Amino acid sequence: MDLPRLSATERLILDLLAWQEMFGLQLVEQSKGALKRGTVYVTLGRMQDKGYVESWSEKQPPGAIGLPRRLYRPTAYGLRVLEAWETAARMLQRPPQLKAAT
Amino acid sequence: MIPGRILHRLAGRVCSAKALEHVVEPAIADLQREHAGSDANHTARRAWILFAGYAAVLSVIAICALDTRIASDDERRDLRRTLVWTLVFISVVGALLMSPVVRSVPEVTFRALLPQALPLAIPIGLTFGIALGLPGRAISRGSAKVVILVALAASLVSFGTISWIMPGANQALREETAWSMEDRGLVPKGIGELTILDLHREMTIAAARGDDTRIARRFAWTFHVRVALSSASLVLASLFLVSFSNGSILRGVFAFLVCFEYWALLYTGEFLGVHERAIPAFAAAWLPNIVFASAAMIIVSSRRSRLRGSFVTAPGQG
Repeated sequence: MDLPRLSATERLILDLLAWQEMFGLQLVEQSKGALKRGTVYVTLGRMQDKGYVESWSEKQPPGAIGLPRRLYRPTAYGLRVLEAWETAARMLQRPPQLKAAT
Repeated sequence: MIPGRILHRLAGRVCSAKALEHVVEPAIADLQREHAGSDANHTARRAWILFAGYAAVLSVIAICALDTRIASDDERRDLRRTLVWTLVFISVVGALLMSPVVRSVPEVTFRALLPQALPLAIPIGLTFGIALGLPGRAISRGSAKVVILVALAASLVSFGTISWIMPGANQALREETAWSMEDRGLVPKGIGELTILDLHREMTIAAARGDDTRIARRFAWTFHVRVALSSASLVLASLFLVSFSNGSILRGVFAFLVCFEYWALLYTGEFLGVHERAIPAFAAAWLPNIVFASAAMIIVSSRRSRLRGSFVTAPGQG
């Protein structure tokens, strides 16, 4: 069985989206510099392909100009993968080294 | 004016429909909303939003265009390695070309020297980058297209630099040097300070007069050599795309020999076309490109004929 992969950037995005749905630019702002504007949309697109997030276009008021923005939220599968990774990370964490007795 | 319309059109041409909808359009939509929501009185802030937004969308489009063409992670890694090697070699060769002048005349600024070094450093850097970055086997059509696009961009940068920026920088340096020696008069332009249009004008005047002196030949050769040298990136990239071999040391040595041979042919052409007037200035300037483009064509055609031969004589096939 192929285990789902989750990069550090994807983990951060899922972490941020777990609290509320956001636009790409909001994610960049909320990440305080950890996410870059030039790559966040590509990462979101890949995460959507993997089934980690879902997106939809916002409803625009009549007369609005420009393209509609796209909102993102994690899927149940995405949240499960995030949880599994966090559990694995916790379990694999090394215990603090005991000081050798002198 | 709504920002991002041209980028949207560009993305429509180079990205897949899915990438356009799910990746590029969200980036453009965020740019448009951020720009529309900014304070109209803060011109600098609005300009920064546009600059950062356009840069981000362009980067998104470039990644999507690459994703559309490049199928596997291995190919993506090879191309990234090629780009890194290219940039490393452009920097090293550029520094090597500039260092003798910097050592002997420390007052000369980096800004004056870089335009002279860049048109030579770019094709050399790209040649080594492709030789060391790409694998020693045939690459996919998509990867080859990306390499050719990079070579084309490198050729355009070289052309812009050698045709306009370099002559301007040379002339500025001459004026600075003359004025530092209390000479405030008009500093005449030498052949290295003429732009490509100036050279073309001089060449046309000489041709109309039927002038075939060494000076007239020098103008014609310099004009053609600037175009030829700008195209070197494309020619050498094509040669390395068709002539793959195993072993990065072997490919590195091959790249060194090709660059050395290019330089030798350039001087042979200058000698034959300008000093001896034995061949036309155009042929003299394009001699290295003609030789290497012919070599690439011979390699491609010999490989095709070898493939045909092996197909006919394969055991059990006849």
